[in-house]
Amino acid sequence: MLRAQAHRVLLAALFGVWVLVAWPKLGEQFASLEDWQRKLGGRSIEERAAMVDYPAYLVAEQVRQATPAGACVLFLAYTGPEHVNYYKTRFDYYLYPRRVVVQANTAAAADNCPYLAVFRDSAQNLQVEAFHGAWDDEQLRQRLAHLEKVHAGPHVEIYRARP
Amino acid sequence: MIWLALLFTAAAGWVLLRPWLRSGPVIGLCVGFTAGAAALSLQLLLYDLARIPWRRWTVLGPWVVAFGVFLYKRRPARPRWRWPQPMELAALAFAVVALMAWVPYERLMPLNEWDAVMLWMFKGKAFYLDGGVAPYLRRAQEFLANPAYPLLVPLYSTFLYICVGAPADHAAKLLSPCFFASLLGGFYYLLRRFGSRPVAAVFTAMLLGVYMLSFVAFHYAGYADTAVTAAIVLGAGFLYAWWREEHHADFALAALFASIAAWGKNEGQFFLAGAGALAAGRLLWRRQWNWRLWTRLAVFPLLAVAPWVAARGLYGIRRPGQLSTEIVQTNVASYLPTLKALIEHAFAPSVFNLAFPMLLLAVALHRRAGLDAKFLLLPALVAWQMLGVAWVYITGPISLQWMIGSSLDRVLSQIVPLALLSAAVVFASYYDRAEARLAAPAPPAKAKKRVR
Repeated sequence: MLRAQAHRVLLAALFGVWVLVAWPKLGEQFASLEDWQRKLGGRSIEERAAMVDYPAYLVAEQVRQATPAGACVLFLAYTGPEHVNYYKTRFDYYLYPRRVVVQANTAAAADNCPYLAVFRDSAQNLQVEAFHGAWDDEQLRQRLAHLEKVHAGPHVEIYRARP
Repeated sequence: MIWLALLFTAAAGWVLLRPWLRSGPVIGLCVGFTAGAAALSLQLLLYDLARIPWRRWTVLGPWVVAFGVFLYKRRPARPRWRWPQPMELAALAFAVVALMAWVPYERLMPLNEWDAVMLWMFKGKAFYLDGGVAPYLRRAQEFLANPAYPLLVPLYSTFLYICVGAPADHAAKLLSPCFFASLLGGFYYLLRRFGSRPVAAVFTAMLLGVYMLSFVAFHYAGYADTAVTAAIVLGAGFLYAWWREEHHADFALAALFASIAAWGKNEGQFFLAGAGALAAGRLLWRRQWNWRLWTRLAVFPLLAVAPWVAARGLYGIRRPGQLSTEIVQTNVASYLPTLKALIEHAFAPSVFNLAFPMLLLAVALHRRAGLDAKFLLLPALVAWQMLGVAWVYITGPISLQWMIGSSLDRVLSQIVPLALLSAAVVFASYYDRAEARLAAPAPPAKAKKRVR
């Protein structure tokens, strides 16, 4: 009788082995879900984005509110070299259709870019990847003296060329 | 509103597939989702090229007419309900548990993963805000995203934004779980074509137990990988069904889904080339000159590829990256270690479970299970895709090690359902033969001599 039903037993055994192999990763996923629910549960989607993508989302929101949709914004970013690319993609996404240029250099320039944002990355990110660009506070102060400050907030100050 | 838009997509796809797909509403909607998303995204591109504005009524209008015709012509089939067997219930229970781990996670997390923000969903948002593809493509050199990638997912997310009326990315990234549902529905449907319900249910649940597949669908929600995975397995499955049963409808569906794969991602274009060559080769071998088959083989790929090639030409989009001899030499030199890495990844049980070892077992045992050489079409397509991965990696304009680290698991996840489908087809054949033996009446016992 069992021999005649061998195919059914084999199907059950195959499924059992498959579930056993899958289970540890599934357990990890349940743990990850619980962890994120503790951190993000009950918050709005904007609050969650601000927490998960800190500080990019927070900074982008301030720039978005302080600049018109067609603007060009030059970010002078005090951040690590890999993070320059990271913030470029984030700011492109959050701020489109604005034109975004991100440079880790206080002397950086961009053509036809009336807005300048001085962005300082979080201490946590700078611990992961230290700043390796060119940052001269005196040069920056002189540069900003000719501009009009339109916003100052966490991690970012936004300036505009005087008309 | 997003739910309505997703349901609309599935219904549109079902209407589109109606001439060829013999299925009930659940499978029709599941499989239809991939077809619907492809059709709607292509519709947006064609509208853009024809300077027709993207408005809700211009996009949805033709489909509403199609729904009317569909409902008028449709003869409702009476569903045949059969109580599930214990193995089917076990498969369902496991599927529910696996989905409980992933669905709430996907809904909790905001759009954050690299390729979604940098590439796929970014383009969708830009197209929506611009009301067309031209402004973004003209500025493409400003962005890090590859502007030459096919636009199924970006334009489909644009469609969702048009329906919602805002670039609601958290809602729109539901598209990946929906493509996953389409993959599962299509996988189940194909297995039901080739085998019994318990085998189909168990192997579909097993597909849900492949970690990397769920990870890509739910963690990387907003990427194009799950869309291309669904299209590849459907294209390959229907091609095999045509080889096996010779129904013209299967041929049409194979050509359609292989073309959708090409509209989804570059790996899908490689799949279309392989599947198209196999289909054309078989038609030539059998001297089949049926114009309908040849037309479908030409028209679907042309629809999937030509408008985007035209748009790329129009807006001067070129594939980025300079392929230098130096990079190719470096990549060739590290090819064997790469191949080793590829095999190690594929055979890692924690990532792809036992799908690839089972594929090898299926190739070895298919004759004993009662299948003929036609079965080898499925493993051949797996091998072809693997070759494609290797080819892309070796000729890629960037470092091999970096590409492997950033994409190998995702690219293999596009192939894993096809590997599991191959194993499932062999198992289904073995299982059904055994069931048939069980059901057959016992041979009459020899009459014993009466001894008085």
